[in-house]
Amino acid sequence: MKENYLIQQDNKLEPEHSSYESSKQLELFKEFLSNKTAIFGAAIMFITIITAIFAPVIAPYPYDYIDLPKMLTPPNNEHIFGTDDLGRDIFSRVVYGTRISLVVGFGVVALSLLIGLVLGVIAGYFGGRIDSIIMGITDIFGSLPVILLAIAIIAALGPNLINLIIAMALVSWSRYTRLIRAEFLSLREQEFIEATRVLGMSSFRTIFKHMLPNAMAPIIVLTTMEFPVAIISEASLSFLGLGAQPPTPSWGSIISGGRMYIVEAPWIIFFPGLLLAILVLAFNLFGDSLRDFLDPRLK
Amino acid sequence: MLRYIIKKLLLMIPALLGLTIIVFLILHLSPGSPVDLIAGPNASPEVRENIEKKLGLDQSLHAQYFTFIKNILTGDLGTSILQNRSVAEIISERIRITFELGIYALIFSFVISIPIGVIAAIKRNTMADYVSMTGALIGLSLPTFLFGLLLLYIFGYKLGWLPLSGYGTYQHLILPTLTVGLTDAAITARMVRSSMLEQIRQDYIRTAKSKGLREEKILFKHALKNAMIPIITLFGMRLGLIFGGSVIIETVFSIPGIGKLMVDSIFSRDYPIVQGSILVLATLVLIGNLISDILYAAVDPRIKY
Repeated sequence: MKENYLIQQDNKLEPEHSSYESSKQLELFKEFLSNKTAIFGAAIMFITIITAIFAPVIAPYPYDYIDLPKMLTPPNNEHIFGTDDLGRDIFSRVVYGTRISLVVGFGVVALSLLIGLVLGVIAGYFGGRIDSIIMGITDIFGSLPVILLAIAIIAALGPNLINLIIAMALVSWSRYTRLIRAEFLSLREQEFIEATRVLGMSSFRTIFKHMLPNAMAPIIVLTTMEFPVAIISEASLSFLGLGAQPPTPSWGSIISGGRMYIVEAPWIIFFPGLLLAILVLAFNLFGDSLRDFLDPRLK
Repeated sequence: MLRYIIKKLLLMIPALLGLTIIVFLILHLSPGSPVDLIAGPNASPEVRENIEKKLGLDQSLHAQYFTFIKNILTGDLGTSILQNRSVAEIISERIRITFELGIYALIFSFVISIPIGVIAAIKRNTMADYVSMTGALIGLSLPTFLFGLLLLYIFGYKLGWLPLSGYGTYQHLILPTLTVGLTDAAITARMVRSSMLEQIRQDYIRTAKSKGLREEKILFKHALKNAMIPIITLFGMRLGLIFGGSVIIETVFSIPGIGKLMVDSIFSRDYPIVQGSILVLATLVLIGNLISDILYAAVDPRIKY
């Protein structure tokens, strides 16, 4: 009987809470949409996603189609971005490359967010001894250089894209853990969380229904900011030969392959390089604007 | 102050231990034993056993770890599989180059990013602010290796002013320094700007203004001085990041530093060198972080030791 009453109370509270939230969010979202740089960033991101999904339709050639007589052809009508040292169409390879960038970016961010979320929630919600243990480990990982650790892990596991995602996630979760823990620590002290405890709500329900939604804004901002970092890291590691292996058309590995031909065929490097920079810029612009609206504290 | 430094030094120990455990574990659990590499595929079991004993691989994992730590503490980073020389010796030949390049890049970065960040903050929402912050955002979005290749193409090939790769004269250092320095400056300039903006908004600046102090005096004597506190502490952290990034820049410009040594050794599967270079580079990064902490305490009198 008593429990029933509590659940009713709870249900009555929630709709009001969420409608208030959504109207505030709608307002913020409208303001956000009026921001030109955010729109530019979002548009580029959207085009990239569409390109990745429809890569086989957009690309005029298969990404690994070798045409030796046409090697190192400068950009022309047939090959708008030119060809590489094996006569492969750069445009087709770049189009397929969007898939690698996005999948790796998404994979790294999702995996490190997951690790960071689990550890950050446990540390921030429960505190005490478990908190100091988790934060001790987090500090160690946070103080070590990301790219070096990733290289060490890839050196051990062997260079390929899956291992690259694992390595990058294993070295970049500490920022998520720190942020989520800090959010949870401050939320824990607030009255409405106190109220859930008084109402006898389970920890699980408190965490997922009440604390996480309130910590979402900075988490979303951090995730958006980490996405371009992951894309750059993938390109850099593939450039070193520690990521995508030939003939997989990652932008980093296309650039790496074009290095030897920088003098006679600069287009091999130019086009994937330009698109990589534009995509990362788009994410950074979008992330910057998102941060300014959602979470000015991080500014 | 001394106590604070000692405390920070002690705090480095768990990080270093964590680092050694990570490096030790990943390279020992990796598939492909170093015995295969030394003995070749057709070696007899006796030969293999001998090599295993010589490398200490017949011992338990934790016994191997303790030997590993003991060796590190005595400056012994193992022996290169392919060159048959001590890893410490090979690394010490290369470290000067990485160090030199890192310092030049960092100095260059601070020399350009501080004025740019300050001007952008003072002239907020003017053309100067927009131009410099757009530049910084572009710099932030350009991966180092790409920017390096771009400079290489323009100055090394198209204009022919500077050598394409290698190391030796000061001309060889210009492009790598520009590459690392400018990409790093993009990040630092953004931080200088926001740190300066934060100071300009403070009450004491309003007080100084209402006292009738000259604008320049307020900005440079009061705001800048306080805005520099977080920036100075960046010095060590950026140095650490630059050392970490040496892997990429040295590959782009074929500079024979530790970064290139490490990447080359991964492909030749010379794991003792990989292990040693990661340890040395990561320790440099940690020392960079330590310098940051110490500088922070040194410049900000509010920090309690």
